[in-house]
Amino acid sequence: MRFQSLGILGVILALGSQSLRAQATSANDAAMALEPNAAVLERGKAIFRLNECNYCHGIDLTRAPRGARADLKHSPLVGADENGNLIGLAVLNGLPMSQTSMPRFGDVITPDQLVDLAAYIHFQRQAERYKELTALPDRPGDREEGKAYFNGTGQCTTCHSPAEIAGAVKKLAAPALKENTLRPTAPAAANPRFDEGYRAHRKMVERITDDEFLNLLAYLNSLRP
Amino acid sequence: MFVELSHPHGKDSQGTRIIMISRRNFVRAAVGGLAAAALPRHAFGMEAAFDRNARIGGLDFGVQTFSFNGLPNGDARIPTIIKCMHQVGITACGIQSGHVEPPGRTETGWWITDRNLPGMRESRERARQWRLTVPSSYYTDLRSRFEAEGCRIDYFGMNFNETFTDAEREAELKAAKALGVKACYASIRLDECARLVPFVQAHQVRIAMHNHNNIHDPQEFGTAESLEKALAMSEYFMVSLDIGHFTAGNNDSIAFIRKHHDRILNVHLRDRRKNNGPNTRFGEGDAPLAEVMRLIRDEKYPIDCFVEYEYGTLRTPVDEVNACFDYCRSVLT
Repeated sequence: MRFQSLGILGVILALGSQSLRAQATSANDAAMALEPNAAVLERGKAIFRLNECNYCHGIDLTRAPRGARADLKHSPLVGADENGNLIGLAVLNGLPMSQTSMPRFGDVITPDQLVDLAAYIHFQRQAERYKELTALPDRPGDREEGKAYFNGTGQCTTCHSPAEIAGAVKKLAAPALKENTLRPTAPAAANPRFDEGYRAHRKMVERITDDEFLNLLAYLNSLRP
Repeated sequence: MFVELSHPHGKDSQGTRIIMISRRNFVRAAVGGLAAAALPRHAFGMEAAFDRNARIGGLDFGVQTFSFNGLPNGDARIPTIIKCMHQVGITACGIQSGHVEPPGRTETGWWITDRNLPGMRESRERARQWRLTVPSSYYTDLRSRFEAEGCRIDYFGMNFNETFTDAEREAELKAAKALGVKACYASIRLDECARLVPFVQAHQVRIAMHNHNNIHDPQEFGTAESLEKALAMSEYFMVSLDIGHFTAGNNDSIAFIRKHHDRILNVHLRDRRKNNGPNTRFGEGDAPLAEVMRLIRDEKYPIDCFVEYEYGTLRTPVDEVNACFDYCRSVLT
């Protein structure tokens, strides 16, 4: 185990040129500072590969098509996970009831490794869902459903009032609104409230469904004067 | 100590080229490297000399193309498989339908648990129409491509399920005939076997059941009992026994092979821990790989041995498949 830990550290050092951090270069500098710790992600990626997760799930979570049990991009369990508390149930105990049962990794993955693994899975899921959501075809969503999401499931009112959102929306063209909803633009000055919100939006990207997103956009666009 | 190696022929889409070596293993590797220097076949960075006689210790070996994970899609896929086989120096393969059919066709398999998602029905129908309309020359040409490179396809993996129409089942058996394989192998359920009986009887194509290790659902091939039920349905039903999965389901591979050696076409060599444990490097898990290979050799059972590499690693698939075959050589010679 000592050598395995050293090995993972070595991987982190050696993979410098292929850093996961580099995948997020399109975000602005302030937002970059809010990305998950690169060392954690590199460790998580190594654990993902060393434990054969990539065979069924794909190293970038794209191997299993939508609708497959191994599809981590859209799995509600992964979406609801916090630091491996739910992912760990499957990883440590396995899923013996599926046809090619997911093996049990309880003897080989430590609790610390599980946290890193979960961070990597969430990061990849956010990246892949971001791509999917931004590529959604322009079809009209349901404004009322979007409003219900804004006030309910999405918990948007935790940070935003409809009046504040209406003010923001009128400054943004539709494409910019779409982008800003998924990945808010950082303010020029440091703002702890933005930091908290940015992380909340990352979670939203993971959890929101295609229909919910289109409905939310329909609602937000309806707030234009 | 960590060593970075470049793999000029590696096809791992992830691009990671790092292996970890402990001090103990580094010494082993160094000693092994000196020995390997005397052998032309294992020159680092060079393509292995192609071994057309893939027999090790008197056994016929092959590789599951599943082992070469991270294969490219499109036109580059088959050449990459063949190149990997050359690098490993193996002649025979068991190829899965997902490596033969166009991308997207694989979304028809058992791993899809939600078939009511938007677009799924249309996707399934497109796959069906492709299978029903593809000319047999597609498969004969594929066979020729392998043969032209000194390789051959011995087994064709097709995972029939309840979404297949009868016409589709028939088309896949015809595809297997066009490929000229010894048999199909299939990760399927017992209830699908019942549907397949009239078709295998009519077309006289053998289907070897590939087990996994779901021991909770009697319809799944996770135990000796479920495999025996399939064998009783038709003389064209055989077994492709995955030693690793069988072990993970806490089954006895040796006893099963002794009892059913005349109905087992091949074994898939894989190592796993018991109790649904993970895959491991060959020789590090609980699967009796060495005992199985020696049993087949000593009893002269006509059972092929196909490597199916799936454990976690940071090395390339070709490197790991080579390591699997090295293990097989080590226990047979």
